[in-house]
Amino acid sequence: MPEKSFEVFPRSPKKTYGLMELVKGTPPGVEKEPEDTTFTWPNLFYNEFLVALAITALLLFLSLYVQAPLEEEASRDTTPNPMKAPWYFLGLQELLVFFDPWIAGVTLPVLIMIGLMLIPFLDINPKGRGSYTFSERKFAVTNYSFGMALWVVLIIIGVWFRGLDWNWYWLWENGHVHKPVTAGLGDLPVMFSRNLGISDFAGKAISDLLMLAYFALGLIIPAWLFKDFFKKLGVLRYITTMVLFLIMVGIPIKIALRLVFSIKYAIITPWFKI
Amino acid sequence: MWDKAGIGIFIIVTTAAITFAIIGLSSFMERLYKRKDK
Amino acid sequence: MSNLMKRVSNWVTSTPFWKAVFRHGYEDTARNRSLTTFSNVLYHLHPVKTRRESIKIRYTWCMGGTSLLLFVILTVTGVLLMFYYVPDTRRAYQDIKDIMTVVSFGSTFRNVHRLAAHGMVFTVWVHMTRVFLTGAYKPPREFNWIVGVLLLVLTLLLSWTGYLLPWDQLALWAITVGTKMAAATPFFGVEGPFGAELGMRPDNDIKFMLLGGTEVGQNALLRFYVLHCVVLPLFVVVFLAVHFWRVRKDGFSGPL
Repeated sequence: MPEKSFEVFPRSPKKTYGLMELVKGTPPGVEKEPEDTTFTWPNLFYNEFLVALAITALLLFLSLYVQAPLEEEASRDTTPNPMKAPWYFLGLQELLVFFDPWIAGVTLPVLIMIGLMLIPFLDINPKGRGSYTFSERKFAVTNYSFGMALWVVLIIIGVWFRGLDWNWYWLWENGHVHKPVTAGLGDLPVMFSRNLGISDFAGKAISDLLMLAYFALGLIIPAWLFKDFFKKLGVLRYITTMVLFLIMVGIPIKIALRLVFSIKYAIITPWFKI
Repeated sequence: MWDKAGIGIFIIVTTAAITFAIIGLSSFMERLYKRKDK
Repeated sequence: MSNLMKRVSNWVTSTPFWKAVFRHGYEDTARNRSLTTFSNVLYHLHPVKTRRESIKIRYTWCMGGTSLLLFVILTVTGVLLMFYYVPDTRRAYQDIKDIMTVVSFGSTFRNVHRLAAHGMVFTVWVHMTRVFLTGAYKPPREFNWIVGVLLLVLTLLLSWTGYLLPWDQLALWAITVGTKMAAATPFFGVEGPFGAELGMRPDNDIKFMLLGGTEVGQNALLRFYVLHCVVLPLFVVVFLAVHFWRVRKDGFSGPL
């Protein structure tokens, strides 16, 4: 028997092609309940328009008083001293003081980006999705805040506390006077071998072991102390999270080593130094 | 020597301040919304 | 007199031409409110109905929207600046000086452009913080968070490429520092770890590719100009489209 043919989507004068239609009823939002909703026009649009108006007005007003800088024409013969990157990169430039260019300029930024992208996959705490909460997400919020604070502090230092020759200048010091060159910095393996009277190789071995111990203990101890945390995350997530965390915390540690012990490099290999 | 100590203290204090500022903001917003819901 | 005006306006709004352009009126009916959002290409980024609570700015601080607004302002002022600027090392600096002094409203546009640029970097960071603090990256929104991070990187790159264009001391040396760091890239930079072992030389490593040469010169200026005005904005627009699409499809988190 021939089947009666029928239109799957019968044409109707109300339909536009795209299978979207204006109907009576509530919209099928992905996670929305048909609760207290109101029309986007005009209510939300009013607020957005007000914000847009305010910000445009603010920009136009500020542009009368804040002039975009323009220094002398580019000249390869004279380097400005200090040579500063734009403020949002000063955090990285400040890191150059404590790390080699390949770490400060490439590795750390890439790690920061990858670390940020991994956050949704490492943070499996279902609480706090779509609402502000600190009490239910202490580890996540604290980590983020600390990372952000480090970034901001490095920028603050780069903007206000670095002067000629990239020396530290307090706000009250004269920024036009060069500071004397201070005593040199030593490397950790050399410090070990010299102070303990052992061979260079032994000094290197101790430094490398210390670095390994930092990561090993940093991975093992929290897993032992916070077994719940470790079990919930699983091995892969836990290792990724803790390695990123240890690297992040390692930055102020390296800064402290530099400030307190005048250590320049802790790990020395023929190809790179950390 | 005091210079270095000053730098260290500055870094520690500022980092702590900003960390707690962001945490505080999160707490504050949490309390704000809890009041509205309840 | 007002009667005549009314009759004229009634006639105008009933002509086929008017009806073809404006498909619904503005009388305050539910249907018209829906259609205003639904049938406008820019407005229909939004859902037709929104939860009442979310109209308030307190939840989002409007940072995402502000970033978008700043991007639009940057595009508009940027195009205006493009009329007066040529990326030639021999005249770029003078062009900027002309913009600041001789061109009508030139200094206004350049100042707005620069304030909006710094502002956008800032609002994008604050937007990211807000999204993090409200957990709006948790499943099913992980992908959109990644798109957001990419947009952050694009914003920083846009700012950085724009920095070179005035061709003043600040520009030249800021970019020199940046590209020196590029030369230190592991594997791809001639001065990075393992770079030399992999055959990187000053004339074929990643710094050379960025600058079109071994030093920051005419080639670099042109490359950064094209990146800043064409390539990076195109990437931003594409990623923004995906970003908004995902917000609509996954629904807004929280009260909104």
